[in-house]
Amino acid sequence: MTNKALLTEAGIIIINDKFEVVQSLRFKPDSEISFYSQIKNANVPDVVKTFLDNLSHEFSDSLEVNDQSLLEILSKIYPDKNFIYKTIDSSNLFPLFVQSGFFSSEEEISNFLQKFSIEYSKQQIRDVSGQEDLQIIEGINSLDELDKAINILMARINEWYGLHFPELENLVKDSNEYFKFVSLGLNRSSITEKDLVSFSFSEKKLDAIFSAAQDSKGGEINSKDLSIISILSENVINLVKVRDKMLNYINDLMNNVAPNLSAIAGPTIGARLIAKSGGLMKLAKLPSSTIQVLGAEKALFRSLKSGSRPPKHGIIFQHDKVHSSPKWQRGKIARSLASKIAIAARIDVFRGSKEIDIEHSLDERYREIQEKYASPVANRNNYSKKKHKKLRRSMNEKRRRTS
Amino acid sequence: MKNVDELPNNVKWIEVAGKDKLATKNFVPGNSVYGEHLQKSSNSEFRIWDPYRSKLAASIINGLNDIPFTDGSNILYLGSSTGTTPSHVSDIVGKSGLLFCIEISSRVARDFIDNVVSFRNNIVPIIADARNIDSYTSIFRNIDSVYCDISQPDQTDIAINNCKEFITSGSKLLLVIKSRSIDTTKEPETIYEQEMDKLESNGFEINQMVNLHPFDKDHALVMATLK
Ligand SMILES: C[S@@+](CC[C@H](N)C(=O)[O-])C[C@H]1O[C@@H](n2cnc3c(N)ncnc32)[C@H](O)[C@@H]1O
Repeated sequence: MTNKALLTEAGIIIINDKFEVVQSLRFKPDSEISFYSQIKNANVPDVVKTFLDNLSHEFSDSLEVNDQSLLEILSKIYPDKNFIYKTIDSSNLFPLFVQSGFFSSEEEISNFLQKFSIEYSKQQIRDVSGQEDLQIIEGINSLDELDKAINILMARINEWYGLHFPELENLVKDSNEYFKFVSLGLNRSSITEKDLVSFSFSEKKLDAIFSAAQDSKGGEINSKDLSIISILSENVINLVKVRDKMLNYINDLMNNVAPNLSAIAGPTIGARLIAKSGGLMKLAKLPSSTIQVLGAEKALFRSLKSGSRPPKHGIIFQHDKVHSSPKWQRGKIARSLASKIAIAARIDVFRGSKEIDIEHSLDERYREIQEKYASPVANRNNYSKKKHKKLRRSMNEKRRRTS
Repeated sequence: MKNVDELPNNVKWIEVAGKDKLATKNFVPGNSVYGEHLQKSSNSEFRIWDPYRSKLAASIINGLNDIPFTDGSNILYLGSSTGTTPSHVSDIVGKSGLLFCIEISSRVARDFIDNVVSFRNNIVPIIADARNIDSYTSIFRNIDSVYCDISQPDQTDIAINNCKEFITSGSKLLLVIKSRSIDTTKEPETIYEQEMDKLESNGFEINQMVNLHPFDKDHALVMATLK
């Protein structure tokens, strides 16, 4: 004889094995969505908590539950009881709604459930909509700023600790280990083996460090100086951790919001393109010729003014396939990458789900270019005035549109 | 081009500029969902159903017989996207039927709700992953048939699981198979066979397979009955 706990859109119902209602909690009318979604997100509103807290006499040692979130909440309240996940046929729901006094007629229930689903969907959309690209933009900008800050501070620490122990930089090449070393705040004249156990330095490396420490060309340093350098270094190490988290965060978000763009451009470059164009929707509306030079605006306007050769790539230059290719292939690869990016962004906006084989088409084109243009051709890139005029026109148009 | 033996109540062929076109009786007269042409016929307004935009229309034109949707049907629709096909199915099931639409992407669901659901009270939109039946809000009618078009590699399994949960023996599944989303290296025909075998070994009987050429490349629609 096992009772069941049911999470429904209108409240929680406890029934016995004969489908008789033994307990129920009606969510506050007109606030059902808020209660329901809180429970789905593993939050427990107070009234629900009180209700669940007082359930112990409704089941002996096990209870069937129709919803995973409710099941988890119950397992926390009753850690030594046994909860079994089991759904019920939704056709049983209507009589239970009536029995528990939630509603009085089938029609009332249908109307409620239909309205509920629409409103619940709208809320799910509100929770994510529009906001996602803003989060991506802030995220990727933070990532780039973190990188800058980390680089500047690392150079500073190198220089500062280098006043005291300049040889260390060449001995400990791995930057993580180097900054960990500095964060210990060690005076080189009193380093012991014990100080360095947490590193996996070889015997040979340790010897080299000790002898370098003894014969160092560096100057003396006092404990006050050391302490501030070590704090700085510790925080840079933390910043690196924050950076890694930020990168994961962006990858997750991008795979969710723009899975096709991520597959083609890679999540970080995709995110930079979104940031540069002001949003995924805006990116999806750009022609691929503009996408190709996004992030190279300065060079582009310079070229328009002076009539010099226009840039072949902006942000997408960071893509492996572009920058690791021979110079004479880059323009072609950048162009085909940009056009695939334009398609991918449009699929992300208008369809939303990942196209299974989207990355293949790029790989194929990439291989084609590599084969066809295996060696540099004389007189390639015949840059014509006509093309230039066309480009100037389209840029002016874009400027007008964005202003 | 082959006519189906019997079209559901709200579907018919209409002559437009000398050509027979498939159309559904508009549930919201005056309202065009995706730019399709509206046409009066025998005192009702019909929406021309474009086989290049809707795989269900393509399969009907290519000879799908015995469409399991009709006036008053309750349907579970997996992968509603922005609602092109769902809007025609909504026309078909009419005011006593109900269409439960599952869609994973909230971005396309937003358009679906704004442009389609808000005009049609026989649609219940549910934003959820069709792999995760537990995350649906209540499917509160007994479902008569399932339509699945989600272009995922595991979509046949997803369709099977949804059928096992929501339909009973004798009910039908319409499954769109996009061979490229399952395996790009194999011949489409091989994939259709493989997916139909999967259905059969999971308790379905295959009624018909319709190739969607020339409206869609490498797509087929399979109709199967749960035994
Ligand atoms: C080919 S489109 C459907 C087109 C629609 N049936 C029509 O004819 O108008 C596929 C849809 O399935 C959705 N989808 C993909 N995976 C899904 C999943 N696991 N659960 C629910 N929907 C999914 C996609 O977001 C996309 O909107």
